[in-house]
Amino acid sequence: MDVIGEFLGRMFTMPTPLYWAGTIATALAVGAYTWFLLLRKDPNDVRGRGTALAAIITFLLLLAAPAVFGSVDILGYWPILTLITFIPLFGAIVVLCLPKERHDWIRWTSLLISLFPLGLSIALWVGLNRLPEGMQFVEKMAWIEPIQVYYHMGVDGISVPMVFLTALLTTLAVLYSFIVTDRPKEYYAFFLILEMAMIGVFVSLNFFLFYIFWELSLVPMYFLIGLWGAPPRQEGRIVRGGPYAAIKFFIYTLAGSVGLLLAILGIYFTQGTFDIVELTQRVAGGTPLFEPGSVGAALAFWALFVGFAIKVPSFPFHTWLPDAHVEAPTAGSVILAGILLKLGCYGLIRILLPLMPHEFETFAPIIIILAAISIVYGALVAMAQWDLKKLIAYSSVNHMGYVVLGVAIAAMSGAQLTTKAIALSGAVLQMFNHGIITGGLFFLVGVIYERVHTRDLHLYGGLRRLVPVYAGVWGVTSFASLGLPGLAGFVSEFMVFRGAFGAALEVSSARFQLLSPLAVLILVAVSTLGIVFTAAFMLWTIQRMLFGTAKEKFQDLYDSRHLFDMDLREVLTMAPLLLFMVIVGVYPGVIVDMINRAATSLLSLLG
Amino acid sequence: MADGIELLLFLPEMLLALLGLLILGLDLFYLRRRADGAARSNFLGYFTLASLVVVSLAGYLWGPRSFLIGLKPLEGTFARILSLLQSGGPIFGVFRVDGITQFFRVIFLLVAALVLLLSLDRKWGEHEGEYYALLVFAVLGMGLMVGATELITVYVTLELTSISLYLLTAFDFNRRSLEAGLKYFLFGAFSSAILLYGMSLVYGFAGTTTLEGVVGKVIEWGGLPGLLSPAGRGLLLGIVFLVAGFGFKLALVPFHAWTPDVYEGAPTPITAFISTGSKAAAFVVTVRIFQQFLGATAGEVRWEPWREWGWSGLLAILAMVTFTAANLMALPQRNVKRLLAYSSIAHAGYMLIGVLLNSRTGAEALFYYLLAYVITNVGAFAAVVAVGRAVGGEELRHFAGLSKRSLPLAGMLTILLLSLGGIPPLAGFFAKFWLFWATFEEGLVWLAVVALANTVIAFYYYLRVLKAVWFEAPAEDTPVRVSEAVSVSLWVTTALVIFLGVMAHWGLNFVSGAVGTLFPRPLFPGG
Repeated sequence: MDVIGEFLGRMFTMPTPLYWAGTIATALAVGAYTWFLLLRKDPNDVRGRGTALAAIITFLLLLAAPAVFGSVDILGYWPILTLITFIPLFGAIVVLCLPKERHDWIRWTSLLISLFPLGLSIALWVGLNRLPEGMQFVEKMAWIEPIQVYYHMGVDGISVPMVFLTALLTTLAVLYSFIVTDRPKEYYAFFLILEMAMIGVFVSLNFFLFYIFWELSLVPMYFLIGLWGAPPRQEGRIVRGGPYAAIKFFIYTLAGSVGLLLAILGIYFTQGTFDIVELTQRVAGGTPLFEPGSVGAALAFWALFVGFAIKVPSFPFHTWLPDAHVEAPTAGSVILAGILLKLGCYGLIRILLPLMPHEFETFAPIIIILAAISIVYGALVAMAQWDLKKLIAYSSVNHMGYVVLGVAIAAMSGAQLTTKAIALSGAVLQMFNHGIITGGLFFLVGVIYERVHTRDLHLYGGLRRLVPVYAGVWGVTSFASLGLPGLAGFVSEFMVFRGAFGAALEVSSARFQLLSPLAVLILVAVSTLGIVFTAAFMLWTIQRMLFGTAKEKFQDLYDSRHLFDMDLREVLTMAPLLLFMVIVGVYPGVIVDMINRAATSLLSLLG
Repeated sequence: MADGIELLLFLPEMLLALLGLLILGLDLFYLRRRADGAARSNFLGYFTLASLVVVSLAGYLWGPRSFLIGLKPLEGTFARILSLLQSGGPIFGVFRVDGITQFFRVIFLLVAALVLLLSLDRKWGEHEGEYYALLVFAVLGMGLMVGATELITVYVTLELTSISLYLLTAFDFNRRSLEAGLKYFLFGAFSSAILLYGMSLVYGFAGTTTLEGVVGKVIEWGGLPGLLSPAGRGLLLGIVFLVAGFGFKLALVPFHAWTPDVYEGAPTPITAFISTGSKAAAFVVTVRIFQQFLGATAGEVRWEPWREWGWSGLLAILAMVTFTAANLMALPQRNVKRLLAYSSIAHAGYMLIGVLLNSRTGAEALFYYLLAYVITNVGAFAAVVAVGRAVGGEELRHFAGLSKRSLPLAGMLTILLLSLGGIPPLAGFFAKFWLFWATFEEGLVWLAVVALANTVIAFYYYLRVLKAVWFEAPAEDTPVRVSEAVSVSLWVTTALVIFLGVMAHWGLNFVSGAVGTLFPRPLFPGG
């Protein structure tokens, strides 16, 4: 009871009720307006101008609400992270209660609900920049006290971009999914539960809580892939398709989290706490979790690493990814690539790096090798793909390789703090960029797939003439993905390589046991080849898709008006992503400053 | 204290026995003649249900953790009864009402109530009265079993439960069901003989059947090393037979062969009852006998010197064999009842870890596991009942497309199966978590690793059911109607599964208080 009491207490003891009243009034007004529009319209009509307008107004108003009415002090009194995390769950329950034949009610309710975490995460972003360094918006309540499990949440400059990314991509995915007519009720419910689990991972500061959200994120994704993914089809002895990919995804990731659970228990029984902040401070204070160099330490490290690397996915653990991506529905692919992969990277940064720095440093060479393989191999395999989704899936393996590389570089204690911070910030920024860019690419694949029902690049060609807007958007997104200066992808990749080369040059060989700095330098140099290969396959894809003359099938589809350019909903979906690609590319400071502050303070703790 | 007032400790059991007889009498002498089939069956069902709830309240109030004990107004008149409740016996050295008895008595009654809900819509023809009476007698046996502190009592109560269940298994009166009943009976009789033989060996060498006496004898001989001496070897043999006997009752591999057939053949409500109530009762007895009274001979599970293993080493091997084999055997099953049968064998394997740890945390983890497992499994079988009635079978193909035919049913089944698999934050996850926690605490990390790897295998077959429920196309599109009684039990179990997970500390406090009485004195330091 005291938990609930404390929660309610925090909700209502605020210095100014203006923010509270303002936000609720805005939300109610917008909700009422949208429902007013909805009730007048036929069910299942998704392309009404009025409702689209309502969406934009909602969007803008909610974005503005915290900035207009709020100030940082007020935010501090809100259980804001709890709200961000659990509003989607509440929304899922609401959606489940709606009548299943009213697709429009279900869609708009989901969209409205998903705007709340988005608005609040912008408030987080704005607020964090005005607050001092360290974990902010902290909420801590006892949950299972006898074993030190606390409901402990907080964010810093590393988690806020991830929370924002999750909220943004979920909102866009919900908006994009308005075309889903197969059981939308369950679809949106699973989506919102998934959002809760993912945000929960990014804001948890208790290892146990982290694990709960981590595991929970598997379940809705399993259903999304299996239920709305590709229908089952026989291929040789295996029945491929959504259900197959869903089970593979689930079991594969579950196997990884077994190691995670063991490591969590191992850490608890040596340290007596699950608190990530507390553990980080202990390690920084000179008491490693396990005796350095012991077998237990190595086992715990690899258990955690494999658990995270499966999710990343880093080279030998990536085989579930192409299956899951190819079979998943469009919005599912977006969330999978955009956020679920980031859970693994986030684990590496938030848990493995600060908690086991010694072991990370010892094994960094192996991880650098894995990262280099992911980068080069991922790009080469992507180059050989003719299935558009598979191509982008493998490009994810490549892009995630940069993240792992950046984190591994940040673990090299011999390098200068600034160098390591650049590498780590690059890694975090790469996570964010990959989310918006690859998320965008998957949206675009979905857009074209709905019209032509094929992803085989052999059949593509000449889209530039047929659907010019689409071609333009695809072009920008591809260029961002391949790392063209001026767009988002370039900044993060540059930062990672700047950090990596710098560190390889700064580290003295004595500190590095498994691999000489020269070898690291060579590995990093080899990794840069990945950029070239990425550019190659992205350009080829652009060529195959957009240029040349349209094949007969496409021309027919165009003539019969099945192949038309992006409609308003699709443009609305892509617009925020394009905006971020350009903003981050031109003025990375908006986000890098925040990340860099957090990365520097994290790394300076490690010494 | 020989004026018989001690017998009041049996009050809930007495009520149950009376209830059973009343049901039989009422049916035989009144309802059979006066009421038509439906009215008779309805009356008996709801009467039994209401009575079980009343008795479970009595069971809740009747024990050392009852809140009656602190009540001022009662202290004058009922002081003797209250002090009796607080001490908890033992009555004539054979029955003890401690926290565990009190806790599980209530659990069994609630499980029986849930099972009754599942059977309310079914007609048992001529034998309405017998069905409900046998169910009550089975619960009576379980309630007595968990408090028994003497070998003969253990045996008699075990038989009371088992014989009631043999009969109930055959209650479908078709070939399958009768075969299952006979099979259950033969295996049961066989295992009872083994158990009895083990008990007679214990009696022969320890010279007493009370567990208090046995524990004294063991301490006299010097714990585990003493058992290896010529004087103690007979007792050692007795322990091995006890393990085998309980192995049958708990359905551990390699003593599990009866389980899938019986689970498949029995009426589904009874399957739910066998897989939860009787298994939980057998586990509590096992814990009592092994941890409370033979704790000194537990030994330690280490690779090196295996001579110091004691029974916990034996159980460790059994546990590993059980969950690994059961999980592998569950993979190809196409019948959901059989699949759940193998799943419950696997769960028994995990729970055995709680017994073999021989520690307070282990016992707490085991009891929490039992609580979570019992609730989840009853719920899962409730879903099987619902599907079986509406679709007409329990094969995987009957579950195909269930989510299209009834979303609430499919959703609840999903939550229950995920809890069985161990997805947080559901009860099943915390059950496993406490268990591995206890395993870590005792330093048996390798055992936790093997068990955890097994949970991944287990997920494959739970996901197969979910795949059928969600991803496959239904044979027909008509909505599945779930009767009210069955949906009540589904909603209750699902809500409890979520509640016990999110409020895991409440469940643990609850269990922890019950276990407090299990380790009242320091365990024998030898071994």
